[in-house]
Amino acid sequence: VKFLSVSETDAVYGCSQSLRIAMHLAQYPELGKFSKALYRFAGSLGDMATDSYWGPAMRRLKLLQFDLCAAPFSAKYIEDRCSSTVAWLQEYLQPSSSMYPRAAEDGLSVCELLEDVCGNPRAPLLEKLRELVGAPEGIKIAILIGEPRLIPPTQDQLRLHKELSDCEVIAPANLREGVIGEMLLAIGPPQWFPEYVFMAPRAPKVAILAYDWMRIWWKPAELFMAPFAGSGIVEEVILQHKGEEDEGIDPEALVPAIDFKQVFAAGVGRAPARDEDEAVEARAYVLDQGWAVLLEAGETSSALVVDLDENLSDRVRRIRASEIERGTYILLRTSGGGDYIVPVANRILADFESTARQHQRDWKVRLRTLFRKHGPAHVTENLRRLGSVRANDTNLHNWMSERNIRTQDPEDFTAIMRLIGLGEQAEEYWRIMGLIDKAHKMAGFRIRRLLLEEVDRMDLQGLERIGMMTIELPDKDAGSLGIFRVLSVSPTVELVPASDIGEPFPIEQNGQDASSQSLLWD
Amino acid sequence: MKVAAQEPSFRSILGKLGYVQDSTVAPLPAWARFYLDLGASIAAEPATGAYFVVAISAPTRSFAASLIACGVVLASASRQSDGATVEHIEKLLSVEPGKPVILRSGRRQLKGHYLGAKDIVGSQTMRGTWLVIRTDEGTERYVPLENAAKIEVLDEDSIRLPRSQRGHLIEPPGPLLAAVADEVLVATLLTRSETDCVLVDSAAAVAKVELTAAEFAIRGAAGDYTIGTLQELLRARPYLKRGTAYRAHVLSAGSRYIPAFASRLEPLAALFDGGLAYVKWAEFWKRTHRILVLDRTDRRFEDAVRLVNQEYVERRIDRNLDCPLPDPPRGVELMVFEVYE
Repeated sequence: VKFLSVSETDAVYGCSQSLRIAMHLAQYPELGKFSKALYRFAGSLGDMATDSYWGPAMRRLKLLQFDLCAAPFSAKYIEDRCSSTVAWLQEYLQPSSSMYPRAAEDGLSVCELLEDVCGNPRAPLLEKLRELVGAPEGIKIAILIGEPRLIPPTQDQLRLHKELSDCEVIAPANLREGVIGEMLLAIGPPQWFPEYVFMAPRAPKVAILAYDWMRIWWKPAELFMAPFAGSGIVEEVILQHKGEEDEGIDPEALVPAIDFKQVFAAGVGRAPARDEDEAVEARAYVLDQGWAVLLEAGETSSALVVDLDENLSDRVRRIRASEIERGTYILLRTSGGGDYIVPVANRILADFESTARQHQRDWKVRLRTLFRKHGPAHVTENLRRLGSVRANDTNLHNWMSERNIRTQDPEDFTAIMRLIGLGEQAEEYWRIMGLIDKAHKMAGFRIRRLLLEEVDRMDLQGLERIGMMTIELPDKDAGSLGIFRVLSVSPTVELVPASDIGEPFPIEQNGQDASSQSLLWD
Repeated sequence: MKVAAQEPSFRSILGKLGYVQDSTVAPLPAWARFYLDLGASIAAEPATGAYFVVAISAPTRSFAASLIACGVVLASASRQSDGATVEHIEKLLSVEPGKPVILRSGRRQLKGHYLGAKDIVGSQTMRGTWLVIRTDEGTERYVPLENAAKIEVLDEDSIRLPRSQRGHLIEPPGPLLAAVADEVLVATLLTRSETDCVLVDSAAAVAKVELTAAEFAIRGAAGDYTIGTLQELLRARPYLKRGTAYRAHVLSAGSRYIPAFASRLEPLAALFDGGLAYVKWAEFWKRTHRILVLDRTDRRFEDAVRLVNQEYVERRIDRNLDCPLPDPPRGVELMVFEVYE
């Protein structure tokens, strides 16, 4: 949170005094027809729209449709992107003509309408923007994009136009500070933006720019259950536009939904499979800028996060994976495996690393072998018989995990050692695991300190704008790290190979749509 | 809450408060006066079993909590110094002779033994009731009854007096405080530690700048300006020298030690700056007025609104509020209700 002086604060209150939301509409009937047809097509497919065959096609089409409505792209960009999608779709849908003749026909009709968009390449949002900025009373406009993923390409587009090159392109999260200009122009219908964009405006004039074939509707939500008499609520502001012939498309329907099935599929099997790999229960976390990550779902699983609201000394901290929610900034290693502690800990272990890790692998492989051969009930029962007090299914999985170093209680460890035939060396193994544990703790402290120094230097406003930032720690073993904003957390868990945990991956990997699943940010 | 019979002097002077911007002084905006008045109104009467919950939704959190906290402290200290004339005199008259006291005399503070009240009838110049304090061996000081606020009864049962006492120098008031408050209020603020207000802040680092660095000003009769900071009025403990009298605490919402503070601080008002502060810590201060400042753009805005609405549904006392609160400025929404502890 940035300090605002009294006069800066006064300017913010000034914007709230005279709240007016102007509505600018742009025409692109070909895009409207395509959008309506796509909406109907998705409806006719029903559940099939998310299956393994139709899912990729629908995702790609919906993403294209959303992007063209959510950012002011040039005619050339629109033409190129539509053409490549048409070409891809025609090829992709070929097998469907025999499998799903009716759906394939409808799909090709949608494809034809997309060809009409290609055939009439225009840039109505961009043109309207130029018109507004270039008006004689030209004012300083900040352009608000609801989807942070689209901010960098929008900024690139605007730089090509002299009159627009000074326009700042921002995300809703950037509106948490002072006034940003004379006019805030939100690209897209108001339903796509958090309410504070309009109720706590950061410009004296607020406007939206959307296509005329959308159904636009907005009014402030009720806040307190019993507002104090005389409470200074702004007069009720309602925006309404029904779209053409009262059949406008509901903008909510244009926002692509997250398909967690696909996110899990994209995240599994990236790392080379290893014999000793175990499967762990994981949740998928969709991150900003088209990334996602799988994190272990166990109760003891945790992650480092950056809390922008905290004082510097508390800004980097570890929280349980179950506490990660939409809006959390999570810290991930972007290369060399998901765990950034291990390489630093290995350097602390120095010459002893190889021996220590070999011991760690040794007892876990032996335990896993028994587990696979006899099953969990047999192993836990025998562990209890040998003196373990905490042996149960969950703990057994934790103990077998490579991410776990040793048991909390020496009695459990001794029981494991006896079960796997290393009873005589239990004390030695316990001591070595203790050294690894200590090295991990030292590595954790060291990384946290380096991170705090980096975070202190970071452009936090830039992080809020884009929702992602990479940092290089001076410690070469820690490698490249990324801070990612979490957009959504999968409601269910799935079993995934442990080697796929913790390293972020792009959700889509096919050509120019590699950008992402879209999810409006609030 | 009753309307105060007479407006305390500081409130009219606060109306003349301005802020410094680029070496010039501008009048305090209406929203800023609203927050000062709101704090002063809430603190005007002590809570008696029922407490106010005040939820504020503002376009930005900036300065809102800092100004409310100043209003709370000034009103509370003012009531303390005004009330001294009746309550305080009654208390002094009932004190046993020999009880240790503090006597403020000019810019000095002296320890003493209270010897009782004495009526003098004969002398033209001394006629009236006097409170007698022994400050060192052989020295008795006579304090007129109307200056009883200069005497503070100590908790200790006994103290030893020196053979000769010069007393401690009282820290001089900051220029803004000296301009805003009368002598008695200044003395109350500078010499008596109280917890009028606990400010739990989701952005404590920013609150510190608002309180200790942002400059405010009062225009004098000759057109000159007296410049100072809100901290002079608030006297927040973390930003004061050790051992000086404080009136407020500022705690970071991220602090792990808040439960420990909550167990020993019983403020007149607990102020939660930001959704995180309220969501995490509101439960810890139930026996006090609670004021929640919510920035519309706050990440925890909706969580906090949901929580305060839930409290309204589940715990509010169903009766009309007799609340002389100021009208909020445009863009600020307010909800006020009472709860039992």
